[in-house]
Amino acid sequence: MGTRSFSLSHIFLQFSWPLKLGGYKNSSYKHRGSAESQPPYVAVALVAAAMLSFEILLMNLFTVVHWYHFAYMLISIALLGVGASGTFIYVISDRVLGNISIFITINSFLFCFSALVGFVIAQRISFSALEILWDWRPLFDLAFIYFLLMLPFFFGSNCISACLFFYKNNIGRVYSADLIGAALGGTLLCLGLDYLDTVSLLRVILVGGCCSCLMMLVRIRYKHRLPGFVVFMFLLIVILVTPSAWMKPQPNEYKGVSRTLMISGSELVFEKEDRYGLLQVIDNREIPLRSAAGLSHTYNEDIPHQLAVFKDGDRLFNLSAYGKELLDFVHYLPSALPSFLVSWQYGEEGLNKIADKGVTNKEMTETVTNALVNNWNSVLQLQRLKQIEPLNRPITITWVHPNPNVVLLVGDSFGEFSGWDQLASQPVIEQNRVRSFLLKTQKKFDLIQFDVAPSLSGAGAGNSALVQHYGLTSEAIALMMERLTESGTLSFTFLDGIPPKTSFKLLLNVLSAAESINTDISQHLLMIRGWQHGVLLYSKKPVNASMKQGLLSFCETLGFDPVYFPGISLDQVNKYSKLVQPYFYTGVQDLIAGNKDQMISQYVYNIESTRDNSPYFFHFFRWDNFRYFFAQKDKGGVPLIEWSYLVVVMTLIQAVIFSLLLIGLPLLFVRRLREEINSQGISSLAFFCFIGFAFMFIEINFIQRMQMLFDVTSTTVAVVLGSLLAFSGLGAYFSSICSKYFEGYTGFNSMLVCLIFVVLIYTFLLPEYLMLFMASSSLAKVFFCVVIMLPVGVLMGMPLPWRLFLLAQENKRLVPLAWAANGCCSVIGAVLAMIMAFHLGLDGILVVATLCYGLAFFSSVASRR
Amino acid sequence: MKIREVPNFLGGCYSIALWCLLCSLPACAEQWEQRRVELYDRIWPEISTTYTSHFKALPSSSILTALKRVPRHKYVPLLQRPFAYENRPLPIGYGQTISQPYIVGLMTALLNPKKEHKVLEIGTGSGYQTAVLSSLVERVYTLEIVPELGLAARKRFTQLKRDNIIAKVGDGYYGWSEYAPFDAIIVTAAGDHIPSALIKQLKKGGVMVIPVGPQFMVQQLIVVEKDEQGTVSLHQLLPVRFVPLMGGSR
Repeated sequence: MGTRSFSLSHIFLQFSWPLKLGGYKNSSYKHRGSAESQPPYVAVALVAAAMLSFEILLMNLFTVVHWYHFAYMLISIALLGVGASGTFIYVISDRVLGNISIFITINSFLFCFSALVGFVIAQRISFSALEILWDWRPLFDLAFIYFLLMLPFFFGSNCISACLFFYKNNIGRVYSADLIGAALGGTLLCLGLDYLDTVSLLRVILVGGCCSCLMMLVRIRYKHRLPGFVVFMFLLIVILVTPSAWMKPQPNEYKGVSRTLMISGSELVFEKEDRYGLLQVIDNREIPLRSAAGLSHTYNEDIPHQLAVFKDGDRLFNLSAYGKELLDFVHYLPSALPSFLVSWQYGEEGLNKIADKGVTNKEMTETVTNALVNNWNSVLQLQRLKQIEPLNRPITITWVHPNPNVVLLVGDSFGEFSGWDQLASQPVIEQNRVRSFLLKTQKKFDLIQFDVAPSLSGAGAGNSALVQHYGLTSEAIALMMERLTESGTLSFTFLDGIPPKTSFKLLLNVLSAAESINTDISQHLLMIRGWQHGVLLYSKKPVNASMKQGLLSFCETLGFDPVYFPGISLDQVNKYSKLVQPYFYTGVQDLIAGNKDQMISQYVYNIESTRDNSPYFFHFFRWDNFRYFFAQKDKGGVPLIEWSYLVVVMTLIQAVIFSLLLIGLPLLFVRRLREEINSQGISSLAFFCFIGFAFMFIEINFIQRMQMLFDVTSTTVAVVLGSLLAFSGLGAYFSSICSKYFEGYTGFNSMLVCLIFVVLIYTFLLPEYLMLFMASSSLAKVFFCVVIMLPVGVLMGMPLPWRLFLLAQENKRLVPLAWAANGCCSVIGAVLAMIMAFHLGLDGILVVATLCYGLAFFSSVASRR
Repeated sequence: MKIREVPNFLGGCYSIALWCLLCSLPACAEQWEQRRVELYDRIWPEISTTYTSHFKALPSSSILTALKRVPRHKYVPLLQRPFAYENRPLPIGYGQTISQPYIVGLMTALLNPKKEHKVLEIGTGSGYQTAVLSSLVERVYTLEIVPELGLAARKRFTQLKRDNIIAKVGDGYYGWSEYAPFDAIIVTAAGDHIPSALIKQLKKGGVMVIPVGPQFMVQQLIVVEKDEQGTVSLHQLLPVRFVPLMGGSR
């Protein structure tokens, strides 16, 4: 999973200060009794915690129900709810001031109720994201889901905004409670994911929201307490007795798990849910479940009995029953090429052929004694090497997988089924990513076998484009190359269709990696393809005649097509799985020996190599491609569009429209605000726009960058947001002190310059800094992340409250408008950052954020004149 | 305890309104037919072009006639009927879809169906593709893995008097050896490999067509040919005319 933004508290900050400073300038409220003289800190913290954890949980749940795109859209839904609430509070401010405790109590109730009911209904609306390309009607369903999910954030935010609005003398403390609550909520949720299932977590979150109601109940007048208590008990009972089946995420009917369960005889035999996601295993004794991605059509036997393994509702892989058939079967997959090359050369047949061709033993590939793989099938394929003379010697296979549940599944829960105990060479398990593991270990490997293919259904839906793949960047591949022994081989198995894209991008990454270590690899590469899958192989030694013969033999036997080896000719390609033109061969020739740059610029997909700065391996979208294919919608062109990028664009459009409608538009109807706009006012508004964008750009950038360090997104989000929010709160607190010591704009502008300087430093140093800790332990990574967040977080929390304070001194009337402008830009900035990451890279986002702060500085100076 | 799914809420309301409107029109059946004829007249040239790029010949005009005769609206759910003659895939429930008419036409053409042919279809779905084939060949054998869809399609074939269709609910992975070999096989439920049993049940000189892609989308078509010597060759086609390595020359 990729970018997520949960800076609700940041938005609260943006919305709350103007409310405090400008919202009740005409108000003449009085505190009603002693209870209302002190802000409800705990209630505020509870609501903030419930809201942030609810949003993170919703994203996890909707990743299961729909696809990742949908979860991504939830970011702006939550922000919109918060923004709309701020506008609502401003408009009805006088009424709120009438009875703050009742208002907060009611909104706490509504938060819990709408969160429960909204989620139960929203996940059952039969919305299909894939259908949007064909039909506009599902957009209504989408809008309805948006509305349902926005409500809890609106009501929850009402509690906090109203509190900040009402308790003007304690606004700093209220804001601290909000931030601490939000940071704690996010962190606890992340921890809770390991111990509780999502249904229980949802209940805990809602009960937490209920507790804030209870705390507010004791503050309201006695005559209102009893009905309030009855409503509280009712709500509590509803939360606790709502059937788990209603609250449990139900994957939509198009997801792999749903479709598999529809098959007669399918049975869910295993389920585990934690921060690594929902892992499910389905068995079917009546109609066997079979998956053999890329299997040669020459395979004539039955596929071994398989269990289908799903992650978040999408097919991850099929686990086959161990046996002789399995060990035969896995050698009919394209990924068997590396083990075939070794065994073929040492096998009797291979030796004869080598002798016929006059190849000497010196040219033969060294044996594999130390292999690193990221796929279970590769573990099985390498078993064969153990049985071949003269290779009958120990082989160390290290199986690296980032998800411990998958390893546990294969090695323990279904260990007997998978044949774990019967393997001739049992793998050493490393719960890690390949790149992090290579940085951690000093070992070198004879073979590194890397399966690039994303989850089967996910790949089809094209939903991987939004995900960062730091393990496939040219830097990561360069590391793999370095960690090969002198005779080592690096092998990638990929899923590709026509027009080719994955294979070309992978090849460009390999070429780019080779350039970085100054190697000309045209003599080191081999590539084959089946009808959906292929293998790209890099040999540290130049490819020799025996390897070429081995490859041709492999292809001839199994009906795969050679794509590249040194000296390949046109008559050797496109023989078994025929294309109208030999697209793969000509493309690879162009990329290796032809005009690479011209091809990259003219190709219909974005196949530019990916680097750590822009790690979106599966982002292939190009606008000219879109226009071309969409124009051929009626002729089968639509499926070729990489639509996951378009979902982000649609989210941006939706964010712009809704933020203007829900946040900006209502304010424009407040007559007094329209009178305030002059040149100074415009400069001030521009300032708040710029810092709104800048904050979100940096936040999104950090989340995406830190993904490099952590296994799962929820951990990244919890660490980044938890620390960023807490330090920003600290910064806001400092700003209130600083504003007293440094009167006027001098101190403020100096702080802005400091912030710009710090962000610039981060732009240049952050990537290198992160690389230093990739091999560290999880605890050390968390610690270093928090340390990174400290200076920038504190500084980022200062401009908004400080500038609002200054603005309020000059013209209080402008404050609500400044707040609205900042809110709009925060909503839009969250999505815009994602689009910028695709085009400008992650460093580019930080540069733009720096520019935004720079422009904010100039607008601050301009507004003074 | 389970609550029912909320159907396409507002979209559903819209469909009902449109459907009521269409059904209230006089001579509704003629309207359907006219729309059907218009649709296939419009997309046939593209189907022919793509077919020609593979077989270097024009597809049989009998295919167009069959496409124009089979009432697609009777093979889609009631709420989807107003859109039956739009050139787009439609949901039929149970996570399945009925293919875009263009794809149905193209896959039918790629099978080169002849009057005396026996065709096996894996994945009956709503039965529309089966019905189109049944207008062109002697007999169609079809298998559907989702019981609800298979039974509904079988009922529909009886109602619409498609007597040359033999339908069964079951696993299509092993084909239907009882009636093998087949002149053509069409696999409408895409998998990640080609079952060897299906290749075995394909006659010499026969053709098998397999679509690849997620729901609502056919990204490419795999044409498996078995020549007179029994040698199998695979051809990968894009449904769209496309020259991928010449981005600038489009």
